Amino acid sequence: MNLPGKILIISLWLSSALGLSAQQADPVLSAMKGELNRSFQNLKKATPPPYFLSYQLTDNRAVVITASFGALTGSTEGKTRLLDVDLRVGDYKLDNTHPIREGSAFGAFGERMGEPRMPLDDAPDALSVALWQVTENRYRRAVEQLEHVKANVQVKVEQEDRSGDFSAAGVENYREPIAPFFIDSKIWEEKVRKFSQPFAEHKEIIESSAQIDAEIETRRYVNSDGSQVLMSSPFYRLSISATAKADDGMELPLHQTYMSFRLDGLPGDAAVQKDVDRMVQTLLALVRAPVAEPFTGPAILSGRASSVFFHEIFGHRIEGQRQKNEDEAQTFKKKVNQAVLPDFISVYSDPTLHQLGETELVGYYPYDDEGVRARRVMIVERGVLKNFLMSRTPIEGFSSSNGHGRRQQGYKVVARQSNLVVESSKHVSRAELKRMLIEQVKAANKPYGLLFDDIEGGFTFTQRVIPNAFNVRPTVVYRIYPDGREELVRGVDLIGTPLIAFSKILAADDDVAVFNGVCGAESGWVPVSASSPGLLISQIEVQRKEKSQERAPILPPPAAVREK
Amino acid sequence: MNVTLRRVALVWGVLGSLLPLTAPAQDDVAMRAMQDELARSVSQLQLQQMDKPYFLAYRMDEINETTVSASLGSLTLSQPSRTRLIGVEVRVGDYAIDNSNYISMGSLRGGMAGILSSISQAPLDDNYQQIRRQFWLATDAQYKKALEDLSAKRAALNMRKGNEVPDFSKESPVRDNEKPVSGAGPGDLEGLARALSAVFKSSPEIYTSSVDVVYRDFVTRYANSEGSTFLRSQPILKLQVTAQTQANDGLPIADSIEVFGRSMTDLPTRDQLVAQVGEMAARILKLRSASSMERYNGPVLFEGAAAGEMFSQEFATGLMAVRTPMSDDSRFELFFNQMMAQLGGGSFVDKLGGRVLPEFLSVTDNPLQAEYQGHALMGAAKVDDDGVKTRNTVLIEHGVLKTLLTTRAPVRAIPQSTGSRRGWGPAPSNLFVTSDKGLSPDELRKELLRRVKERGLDYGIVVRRVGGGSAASFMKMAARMAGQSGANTSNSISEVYKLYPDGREELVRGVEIAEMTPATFKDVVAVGAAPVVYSDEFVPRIGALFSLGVSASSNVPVVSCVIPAMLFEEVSLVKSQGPFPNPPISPSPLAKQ
Repeated sequence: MNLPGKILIISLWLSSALGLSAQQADPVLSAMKGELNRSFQNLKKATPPPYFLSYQLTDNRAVVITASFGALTGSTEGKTRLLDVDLRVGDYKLDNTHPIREGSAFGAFGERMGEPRMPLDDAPDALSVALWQVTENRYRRAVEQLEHVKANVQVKVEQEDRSGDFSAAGVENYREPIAPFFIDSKIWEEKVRKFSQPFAEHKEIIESSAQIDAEIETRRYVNSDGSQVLMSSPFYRLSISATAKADDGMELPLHQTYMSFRLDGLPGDAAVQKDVDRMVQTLLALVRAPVAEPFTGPAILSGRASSVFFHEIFGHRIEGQRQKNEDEAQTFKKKVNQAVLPDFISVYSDPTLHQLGETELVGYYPYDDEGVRARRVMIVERGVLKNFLMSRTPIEGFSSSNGHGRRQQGYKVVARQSNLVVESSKHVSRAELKRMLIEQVKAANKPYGLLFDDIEGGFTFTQRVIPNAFNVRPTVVYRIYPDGREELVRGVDLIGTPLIAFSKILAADDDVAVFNGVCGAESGWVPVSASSPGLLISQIEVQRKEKSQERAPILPPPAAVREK
Repeated sequence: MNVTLRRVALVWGVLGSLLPLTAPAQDDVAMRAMQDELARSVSQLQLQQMDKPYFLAYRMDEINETTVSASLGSLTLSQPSRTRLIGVEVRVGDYAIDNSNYISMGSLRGGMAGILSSISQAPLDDNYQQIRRQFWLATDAQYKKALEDLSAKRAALNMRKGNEVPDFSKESPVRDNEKPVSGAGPGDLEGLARALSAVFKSSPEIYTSSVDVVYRDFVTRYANSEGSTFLRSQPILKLQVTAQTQANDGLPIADSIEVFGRSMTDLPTRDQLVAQVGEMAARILKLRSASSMERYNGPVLFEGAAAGEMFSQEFATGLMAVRTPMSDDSRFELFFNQMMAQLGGGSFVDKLGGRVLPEFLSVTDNPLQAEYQGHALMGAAKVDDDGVKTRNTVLIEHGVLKTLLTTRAPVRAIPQSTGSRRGWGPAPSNLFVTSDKGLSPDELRKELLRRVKERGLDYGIVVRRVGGGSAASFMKMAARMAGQSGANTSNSISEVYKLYPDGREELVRGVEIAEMTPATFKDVVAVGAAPVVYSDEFVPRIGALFSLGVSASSNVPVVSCVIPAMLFEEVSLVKSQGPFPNPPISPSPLAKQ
């Protein structure tokens, strides 16, 4: 294994080469600045003139290699460069981006249709022409949109939230060197084959995959205020998934994901294979585990489960624009400076945090996608709501961005989570938390409590038209009996509504865990993390999981005979 | 006619001599895994007391694709990919009545939904065990679905009379297990795309331009329960150059060049292509200031590629017989035929035995010919996607429609397959339009001007390129689906000239063909003597998607037409109607330099 040595040499060489070039002009950034200024000045002479223009150019190079049951199923290398333009006509108070109330949901649909692809080469001429084309196109549309907005504002009732459409932000100048990126596809093809192979030995396991995603994303941002930001960061993710099928048709998934900003930050083969073996054992145990019944009662959410719980039911409700949009339920809008959580809980969002303990946090970024410097935002201080996550879209009482305007390339920026950290000022050991759970079980006269040990994710609704429920999808759940016995069960989802759930948090343990993942919402998929200690909740509710009605295959799996 | 036939024999002979170079495929792991799992399914697959499958077909499409795009000398896309898709076709019942040709409006079962569910990914490794595993799972799912479909269909059939056309035709098995000679590979696609796209750097008045090259090596492995097996390689190289701008009054101006081949060697040389692109750029610049015209009704000559474009977009789409699927809701069948007629014209199935072209024209579909005068013919294949041997089919003889192209899903008048399943349904391979009285280019123009004079017109019209190709057909189909008609569905023409009696040509801009239907082709009054090759992707008939109801290949066929220039007695042209977007406010950044 001389791989790490190889990486080291290449990264050293690259960083020294790029260290030099960082002093020199970046030809792409220069072309962007040049065309932005030229177009903005020319368009200024038109009526109505634009008051703001920004370009964000995202270079993405990605290697994705996937195997299933020991055989390679995909190995691709892709390179894309996508442009996002924010062109605004009108003024900070009212501009073309103002939401059209009761309008069609497909406003931005097809916005890119017919627009040219960005050149992948660092060719200033070709790039300027492409930027010019898109800018002209967006200007024509912005003028139309503004007319539509003005009419809509006239015909609808006055808006509850009278904050403007855009806020001013400081001029920033930030430049990282282009990060090194190296992955040997051949080596990783062999690795993912090896990682997915053990699942093939058990007929209960019907799906398996091992996938490495290696990506480098370089984002260049310029705007008409004079800001310029260049960020470049690699990202490596190894995901292992497998699904077993119980005799009753229930599909039982398990996932294991490792993420790092460095390739050598991923665990070694032996550690991964050990986790794979453990997954196989858990899957086989799950297949034989009893099916849990719908239940309400006390439960422990492990650190990982609590993290997702907070991300879904709390994090999404403190995203700024949701307090403004009148389709949203606005759970916390009027609760600033009021208690929303128990007084021993504090929550903050910190995109500048690179790691927590030993664990890297994938929600890290130095600047957001509107060129605003990232910063820590204290959201809940000792149970009291203090702030929201803000992009450059202001809301009543919160007039400026706090560096949380984020998007996946190709989407419109909204305020999103980064690294959500839940802290408890008092905590007990895990054993003590279990003891407290058993106390609750006895007091409530329940046959058992639940322990949610691992989860695959979750979702929530925040709009007014549907109940604001959440669903956290556990994969490993135990019943804990009053005598302390733990029993693995399968087949339930953790459900509830936000305000009730928060009011039932009783205690926290000292076993803080991090959930790194990607979160999908209005502005696409963005990497986020959430971390939390394990929590004891006095009452939760679980419902039956959906279940496949497919009968098991008629013939047994083909035997490995006749292989030469 | 005779000339064409001799040529066929000649080319076929060349292909034949290539065969000894191919290697036998006994060592093909994927094929062995497919055949072993097929054998197991044939002998053992049965759910309790239900029907066993009477027919099973396994297919694996291995697609090695490289897509490259460039603009102004810089790459905008370079994407190699390798995919293996497997498809399983399960038929229960018998040849007369089986689970296919049925669509349930209640459960949306069958049809398109069925096709999508029947295609899945296979491992890229030649991993015997995993390939078998994928076929095992796909077969199981398709068999269960087939059983449900068949019982639903039988229930629907009990409610009505008559279904005398069998669902599946019997054909002789084919064995063609020669390992195909792998194609020449993509070659330097990036270099070609950069070089051709750089031509536009010197024309800042052309707002957008792009060069797109796709090389796709499509290797199909097929085995069915009747004993057919084949291994087939069909590499396709497509080069497309597109450019758009606007005239000062906002009128959009666009042109394109499309070239198909099996490999880079089938294309013109790079220098020739650079010259062609340069000519196109010059023509676009000329068009910006060219004059337009309000309206024209009179004789129009389609020269070069233009005849092929009109023929394949407006006429050839009717040359297939697509079966109307039966449904649990009889209103669907009524609606289906109306919809098919709306979406790109119905089939000629009701015109069999009738005259559809002038008496001096004949049309043959010939997949056995691989090239014509040095140009690759993209429809050449020995076996079709049903595993049926391909053949030469005379479709139209002296203007009279003799038969239509079919798959193994027969229609009333045509009980056997013509070996024409390409991808989702029937498609032409290489269409040869032949005539017994071709005129030289000069004679054709004289004939045009004679008619112009007769009609008392000031000039005639020559169309050299329609533009848009299959993308235009697709947009038209979309427009029809959206209920639009009239100008929106007409053909905007990219290269059209006024031809004056003194022989002078004048380029005209912003002209569209008002209405062109298959019936218009009856008004062809003369054709040229020197046919040219025009190839394009064939937009599959939507009908085929529904009627198939079983697994399909994901191949999008490319059809070649060998077709002479055509003089139509009467075509209506109209001026393109706005609204057009405003021209840009800033000039191109290239203009200032």
